[in-house]
Amino acid sequence: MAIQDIFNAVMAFDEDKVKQLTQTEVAAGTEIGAILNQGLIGAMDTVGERFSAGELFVPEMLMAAQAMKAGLEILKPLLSAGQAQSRGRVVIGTVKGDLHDIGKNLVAMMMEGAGFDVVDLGVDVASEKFVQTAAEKKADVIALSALLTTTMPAMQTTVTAVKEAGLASRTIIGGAPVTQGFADQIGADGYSPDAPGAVKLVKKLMA
Amino acid sequence: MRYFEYFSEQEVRRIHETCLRLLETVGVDFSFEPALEVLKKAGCKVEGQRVFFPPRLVEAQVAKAPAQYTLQARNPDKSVVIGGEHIAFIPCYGPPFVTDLDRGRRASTLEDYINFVKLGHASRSMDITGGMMAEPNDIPHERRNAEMMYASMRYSDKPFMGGAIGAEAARETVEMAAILFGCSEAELAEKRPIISILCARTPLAYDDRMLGAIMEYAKSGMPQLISSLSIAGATAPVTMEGTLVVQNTEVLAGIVLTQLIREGTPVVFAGSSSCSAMRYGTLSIGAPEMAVNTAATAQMARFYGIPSRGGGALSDAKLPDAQAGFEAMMSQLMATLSGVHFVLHSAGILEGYMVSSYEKFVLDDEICGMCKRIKRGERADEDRLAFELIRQVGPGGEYLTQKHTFQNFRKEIYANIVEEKDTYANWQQKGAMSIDRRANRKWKEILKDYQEPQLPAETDKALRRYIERKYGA
Repeated sequence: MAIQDIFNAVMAFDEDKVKQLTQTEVAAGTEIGAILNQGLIGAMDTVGERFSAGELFVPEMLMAAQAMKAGLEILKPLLSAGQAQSRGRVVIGTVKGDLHDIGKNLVAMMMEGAGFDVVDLGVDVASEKFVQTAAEKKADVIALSALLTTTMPAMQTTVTAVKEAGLASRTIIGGAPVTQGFADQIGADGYSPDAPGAVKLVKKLMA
Repeated sequence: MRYFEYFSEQEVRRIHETCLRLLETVGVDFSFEPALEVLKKAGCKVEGQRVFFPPRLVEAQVAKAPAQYTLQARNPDKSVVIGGEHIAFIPCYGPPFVTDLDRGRRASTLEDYINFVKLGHASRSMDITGGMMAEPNDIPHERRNAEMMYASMRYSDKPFMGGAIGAEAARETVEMAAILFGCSEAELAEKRPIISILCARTPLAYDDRMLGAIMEYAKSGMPQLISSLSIAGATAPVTMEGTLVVQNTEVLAGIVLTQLIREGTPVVFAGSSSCSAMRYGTLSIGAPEMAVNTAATAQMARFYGIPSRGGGALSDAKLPDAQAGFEAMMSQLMATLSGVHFVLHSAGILEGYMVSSYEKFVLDDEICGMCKRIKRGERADEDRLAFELIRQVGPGGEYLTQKHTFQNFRKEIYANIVEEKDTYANWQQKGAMSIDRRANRKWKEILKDYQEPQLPAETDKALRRYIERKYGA
């Protein structure tokens, strides 16, 4: 069963094989939706479960996400309007004054792996930039990261700016010194202590 | 005492040469115009923010950093030598949270900071006080550095760590220290009562705020740690050798800048690199890889003839439990055995730098006491080998009643602070307390018995005036 082979290739972190098998399936006329959902996304769901269970480690999960993305790139032009719709769009960045991005990158990659459309604004991102991009891209969620206690106030500035701009986007925050209490205090819509939690949180907010 | 050496001489040289090659061909980013100007003028090739260092410049500048110097304390008995055979222990630095068994985990306040200054002051093993032992979250951001410096100056007469967030914090620290010592800034450069930690933004970069502070402290001649925390598998190669090379390259680049600004300005070659906890993608500090880096950092600093920083009572544990104990002892002992000179985070750290724990502060103080005992070293001379005594006591005798034991046991055998060594029956009778409960009782006792060292009233007033003039009453 060829779709199962694609699933297995993602589970084996084999980007080249995923590409090759996806191309073969497309050429054979297999339904695109089935390749996407049962093959690529199905594999990533299993990867997510094994990661949460502590069986897979971060570099392995990221490799699986890259393999999945390679397959997705082949399918994208072939998807119908309904199929092309992502699970949602997330604008993500590290707030003004902060240059730390490992955690933020991890969250962005995991969200992409989970089927979200991610717009990564990088580091040292001003609140206006978050607001402007979220408005342009019609973001469902704006995700803010900070590692320094000195830049946590910039999260508040951004969350307030999003509200004042009247955007429908929900705001979520994360980073080592950030807490649920701080999220409540600044009026953010959610907080997660880690990357897998952030994916779950966005799924919950979008439900 | 001979030091533990992780690498062979040949390997050390190979590591050094790899760093020189990185500095020359890959370069380091400096996002601060004044720093770029200094480096360009000295002969570095500069492209945008990227600086490429000629190997000869690196070796010549690094050779100018002193091998040893003294931090002069307000109380001259408490001055601290950095370098040589000495080891200095300094408490936790940087956590935004504190925890204790009574009140649990919470955002730290100025009161917590002051308490940690007092605990550090009362400790017989801590040589220098903080430095952001607990962030005063209840104080406005702009005022925090001044209030922490004031507390360090008032509640302890040991040397202390200066502010590091930008040139302004560095300037403020130097100005307040000059008030404390009632001297000019030129005289302060002779006393060197403060030392600060400045960090690279790994991999291979320095940001504007850290560079501002590095340059300000270097101009003032104040000692500073040029520090790197590379994370194996995240910000550096997953091999500890590759991580060491990234760390070493950053530290060398920073030290070159300090020596170009003020030749002979005192620095510490500081490494605190560790690895990722690959299950979560987060930094792990209670890791054997951290201990490897500590030993390697000490060895590289010896190669350059500069005092080293590494190790600490480091842990990823959430509570002052067995994990906290064994992780802390692993890296503190490694720092001690490998000849590190400056051990930041020697007391209190939990959760990989996120939390300062009152109980762990006391438990780590015990670890530090033990490590200092080991570090003191022994001399295999005739007197200490005690042949004559052994002859007198002879086979089957005992030493507990010997005058020699009576006269020497207090200085020979480490006296524990909170460790339980009594019999089972006695321990039960005393309440069968676990070590964390004992530590809880101990820190409260220390704070209750704490005595404030005298600070002249006019000095205190001048310091308060300085703060109030800048930030209001």
